[in-house]
Amino acid sequence: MAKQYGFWIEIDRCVECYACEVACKAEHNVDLGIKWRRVTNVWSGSFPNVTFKTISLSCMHCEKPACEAVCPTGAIKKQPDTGAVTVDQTKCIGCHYCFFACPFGVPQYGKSGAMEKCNLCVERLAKGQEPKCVSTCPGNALHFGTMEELSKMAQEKAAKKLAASTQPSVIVSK
Amino acid sequence: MTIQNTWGWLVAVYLFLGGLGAGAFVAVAVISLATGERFKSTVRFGAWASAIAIGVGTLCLLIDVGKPLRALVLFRSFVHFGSWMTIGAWLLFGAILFDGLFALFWTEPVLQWVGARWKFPVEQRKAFRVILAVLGIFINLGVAVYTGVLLGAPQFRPFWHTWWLPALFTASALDTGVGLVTGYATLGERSEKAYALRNVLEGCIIVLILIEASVLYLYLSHMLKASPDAVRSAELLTSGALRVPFWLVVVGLGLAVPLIVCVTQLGGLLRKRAAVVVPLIGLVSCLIGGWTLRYLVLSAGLPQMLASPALEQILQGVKFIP
Ligand code: SF4
Ligand code: SF4
Repeated sequence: MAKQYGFWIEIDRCVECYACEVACKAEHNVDLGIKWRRVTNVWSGSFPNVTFKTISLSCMHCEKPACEAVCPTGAIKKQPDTGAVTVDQTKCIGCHYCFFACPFGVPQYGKSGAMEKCNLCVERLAKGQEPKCVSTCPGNALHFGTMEELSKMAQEKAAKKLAASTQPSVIVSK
Repeated sequence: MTIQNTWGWLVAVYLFLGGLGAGAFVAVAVISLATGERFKSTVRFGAWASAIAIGVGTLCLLIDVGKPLRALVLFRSFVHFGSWMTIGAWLLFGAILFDGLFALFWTEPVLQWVGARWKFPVEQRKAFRVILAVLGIFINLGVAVYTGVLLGAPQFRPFWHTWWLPALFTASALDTGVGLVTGYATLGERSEKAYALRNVLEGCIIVLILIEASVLYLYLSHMLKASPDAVRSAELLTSGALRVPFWLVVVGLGLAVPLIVCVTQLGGLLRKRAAVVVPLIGLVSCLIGGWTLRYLVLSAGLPQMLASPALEQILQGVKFIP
């Protein structure tokens, strides 16, 4: 099988500094109000025992991307060499169908009207570099690699692969 | 975010007009097959109305996207045939041409113009009309069903991801389409037997409204028993934020008023005194109800919460949607 790269997110290492989000915006020159990577607080429990965890998520570069399946223009493609799910903005017509298909509501639409989202920093991968968010994270909470590498690395940490029928390429550990 | 608003009123216009045009075509195609030339002005009206409605509807979809100019070039923008939107765009395009062609075969000046140049199509017009009518019924039923399938394809919108939706939209398409044709038969058809046609059509509307009401009931009661996200969506309509337009406009104007109008018309109760006003009220009310149905179903299409049982504790409540 072709390689599938993805992310491993260690929630207990995240210090909620938003460096990944900001680095991504700068790297890809993303429009105001649009975030390819998002740091989200997840609240749980009920008063007075409320806790929250922080998790940084982007497109999951699913093995079976639902967005690609519904796209009428063929703008969305799964790259065979990296498993990255990318958008060709010149082909996209901005119909928003992918937004409805994605289980995580990832696709967003900028000034040009075209869909945009995390592209796994394919330009950086081609130069042998890690995605910008991963290399920026000060707490080492974000890891990048092939799914096999990541699951080996995450073995001791009760990590779980994100489950959805689209098979996201993301592993999370507490 | 309490209601879905990525696809708004313009997409609702598209779904509504696509259905209306398809329904009107089916109605006049059946009339033409059953009665030949007797009601030719009604047939001509329905055929043109259907081509125009589907055309304008398709335009609404295309201009609603982020890059309309690119979208308008169908053969460049709709090329991935694994997508229902691609299949639908070409189906609609085909229906516009097809319904238009059928309309031309019922338009006298056009027939004369063609007849002066080529004998064959005009001499054989009866055969052409039958073939076009029969094929057209299938294509247009396809359009009606498709308006529901477009929404139903994405798996993570549980309120849309069901066969009840195409069933509901098809019922509403036939209901509004036959309604439109009946409106014309009442106001514009001059044939001697127009009253008989009207009676039959009004009878059809009564049956169609009863079918649509049953499908709507079954759809919602099915959703109210389904996953929590489907329940949230359905409750928006039955008892939540959208309940007033739902009960008042969709059920009241869209179903109850046209039903009452048809029953009173058929019963001959009001025919003499208010021959024009009452059927017109019924028609307008049915069309408003049809559009509102699409709009509310769109608005209630909430996403499924991030479904990841393995990680529920970590991600509890995450909605990765702004
Ligand atoms: S997370 Fe959504 S946008 Fe990303 S590949 Fe999966 S389905 Fe497509
Ligand atoms: S918005 Fe663009 S990328 Fe998304 S489905 Fe439509 S054409 Fe494809």
